[in-house]
Amino acid sequence: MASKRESILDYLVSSVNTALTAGGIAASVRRTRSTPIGKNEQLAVSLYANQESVQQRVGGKADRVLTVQFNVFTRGDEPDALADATVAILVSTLMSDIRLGGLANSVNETGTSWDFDSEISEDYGVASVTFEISYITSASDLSA
Amino acid sequence: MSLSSDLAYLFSDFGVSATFEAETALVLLDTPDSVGNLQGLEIISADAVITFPSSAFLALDEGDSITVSGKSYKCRAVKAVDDGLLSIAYLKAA
Repeated sequence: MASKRESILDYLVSSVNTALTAGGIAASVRRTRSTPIGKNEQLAVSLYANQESVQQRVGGKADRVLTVQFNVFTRGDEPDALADATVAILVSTLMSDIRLGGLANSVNETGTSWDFDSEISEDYGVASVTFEISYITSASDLSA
Repeated sequence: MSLSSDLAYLFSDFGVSATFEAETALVLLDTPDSVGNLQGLEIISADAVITFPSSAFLALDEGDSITVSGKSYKCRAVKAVDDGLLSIAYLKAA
């Protein structure tokens, strides 16, 4: 049985994909992307699980805080401006559903950073949006 | 024969036609892909660079439109190389 963490990550991919489609954004979220961004890709969204902290509770429960990061890659002039609509959808989707369909206790947006580069023929950038997701599991069973 | 007139031979075999405003000249076009890295992710880009006699396109500068081998590009930057008789222009597809 999948862990709650995995269920949360799957839920994020599904809900953000639905929101991107509804928002007219031609991209879908890829988990933990390791393949290169192709030269014809203008926009790509990736989700990474960065880390998780755990605090043991009495009674056999564990409070967990999962930090996830969405990377929004855009290619073109002013890549940060090109990423703006996608970043807005990410934040809106997660912060309007902070229980993540009952999988989590809360979601907090913790920040956005931008990284740019310029190759000979074009500009591109990545906007990284991070969230902390609090949830509870059994101390001995990640799926419960 | 002067050094500058010898330059024409550099472009006669492999040169392609380029037009900027009213000027047309033979240029060397290179279109390699480059690989960058952001946030640990490799990013592939299609580059376009022309080498041309500096005297051919004296006014070519950032933001200008140029046609190379029938394809339209925007100029991102121009720099003279070595003794200045040749220049390189970095292009992106328009």
